[in-house]
Amino acid sequence: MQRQEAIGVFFLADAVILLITGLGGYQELFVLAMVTFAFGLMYLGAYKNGTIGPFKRPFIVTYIVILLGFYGGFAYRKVPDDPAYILGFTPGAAFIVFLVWIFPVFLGFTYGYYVGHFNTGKESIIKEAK
Amino acid sequence: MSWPILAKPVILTVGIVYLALCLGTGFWAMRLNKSAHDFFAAGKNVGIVLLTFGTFAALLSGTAFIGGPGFSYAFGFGAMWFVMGPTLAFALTWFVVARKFRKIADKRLILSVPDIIHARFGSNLLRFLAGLGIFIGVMGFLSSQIMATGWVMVTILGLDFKIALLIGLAVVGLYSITGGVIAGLYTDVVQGIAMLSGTVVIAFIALTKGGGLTGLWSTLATQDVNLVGTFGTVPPMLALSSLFITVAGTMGQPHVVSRFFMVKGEKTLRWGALTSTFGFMITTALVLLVGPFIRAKVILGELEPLASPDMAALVFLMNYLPDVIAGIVLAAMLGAIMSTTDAFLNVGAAALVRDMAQGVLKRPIKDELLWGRIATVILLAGATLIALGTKTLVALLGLMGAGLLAAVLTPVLAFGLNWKRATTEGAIAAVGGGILVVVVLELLKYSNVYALPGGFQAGPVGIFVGTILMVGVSLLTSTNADKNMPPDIYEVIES
Repeated sequence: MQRQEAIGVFFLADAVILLITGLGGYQELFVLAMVTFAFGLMYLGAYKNGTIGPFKRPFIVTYIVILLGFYGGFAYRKVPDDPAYILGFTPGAAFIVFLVWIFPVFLGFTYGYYVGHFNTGKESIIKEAK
Repeated sequence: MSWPILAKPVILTVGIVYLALCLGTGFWAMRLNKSAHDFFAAGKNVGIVLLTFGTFAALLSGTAFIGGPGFSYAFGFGAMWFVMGPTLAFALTWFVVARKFRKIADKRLILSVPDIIHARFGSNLLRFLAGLGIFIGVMGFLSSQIMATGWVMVTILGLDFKIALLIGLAVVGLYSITGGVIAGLYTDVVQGIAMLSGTVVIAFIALTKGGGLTGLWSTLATQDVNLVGTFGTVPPMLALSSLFITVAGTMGQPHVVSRFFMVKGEKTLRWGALTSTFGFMITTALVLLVGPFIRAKVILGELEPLASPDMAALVFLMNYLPDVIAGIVLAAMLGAIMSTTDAFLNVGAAALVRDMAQGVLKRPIKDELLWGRIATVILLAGATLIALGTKTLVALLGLMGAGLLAAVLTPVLAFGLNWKRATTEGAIAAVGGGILVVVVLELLKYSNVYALPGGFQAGPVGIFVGTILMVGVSLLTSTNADKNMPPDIYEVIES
């Protein structure tokens, strides 16, 4: 199968899984498919000349951290009558706040730091330097 | 008719000064609008400051500013799922579409998002469908902004809801009609600064008077411990589908992504994802603090329960802030709503005058600038009628509109600009399917015939179906899609 067809099949399968798990209420699987969809698109957007270059490591780290945040939130979803608080949030909420909400800011930084050199090409870099 | 504002003249003064400032910007910007290119695309002269404020202020909107605290008042921590998406969404949107929009704008005349789609696929039918989807989505979202405008204007002017709403609309309508997107962008800066500074003051007061974050949430827990849990009292699938729409759907919000073809160059885009994310995150603190603060005061018996959760933000301002600060924050709230309203008016006018008209006539209409202004009036009137005729919460009405826009545009933009195998047939199926799925599901829900299980929203289903159609039909229709692509567009997709 050619690369372009393989990309199509990947997103087709992911969208079908999102539809089934979303309407079926399978939260854990839905989250996995949702984060995979988002990072799959990001991979497509960053891809150039057969590679995503410096974005590979930030993408993998953020993908894992966000999934950890979701599953941590799910694991602590049941709140006891006298809940503990971590920096102002119950443990489940804290996973969501710090790993799912705040951590992805890292990607915005990554974009700004690398995109100029990796994606705009030699001509733009020379033009930018002038 | 009540006039509580007479007891708070400072708020009235600040509110009037702010509205006058917006109008002044509109009339000043009118001088800069010499063509449809200026009216719809700001003459491709937007720098990093205008880009940052124009993106996060336009996305923030009355949905988050009024509806967000309303949601956290009603559903506790669950409200976060509706507003936390943009931290990931801005990076995603920048990676997937930002540079490509700007590169295409260098090669073709681009004044609207469907112009980009037309440049990629060359189909007038597709351009019409995309314009139609945007038009319907804009009407839903505009209605939510108009309702939010009414609530804030009631607080500032103390007038009857309908009269207050009409005054607010007259201001936003005037500066949008006269100043186009240039006026919108400059007022976004004023509004964005007001929003950021207002949020910092609110956060400080809510935390000091509410006993800190732990104090606020633990008070809520005494009433219902579920309010402080992972999903608050929001059904999990409603929370997850709302998050999906704000993450993947942001690149399908035309009032946000249209900024990308207005910027001076690619270099301007570089730090925009980060700066816009920070702006949005700071203002999200309102959702985390104001709703729970008011709910805590109700639980403690210091306030009466609210007639509508949407009043939470306004009750906070009127009861817990000094008048001058309340006036500035009210102006900030009005700013959040107006910045989105004017952005949507501009996008909706472009959809009508440029995309739907060109889709039918197959050529640009004469005097797009004049027709753009007329279309702005029509949109404003139509959305006002919807707002006055619905009883849906501000946040939900906004989510419906955002869902439709995301369903229509996300698959076609994400795959059209990054996947060489995408075909015109696939794009038409995706846009048409997205509109159909979301409109039918929303109508069934509104008429109490059928609702998706677990509170799942129609917008994400539209994106899933749109993606399946976009990819599936493309794989079935042509193996030479990349060879049929215009060379200049091929070059952009390869970059």
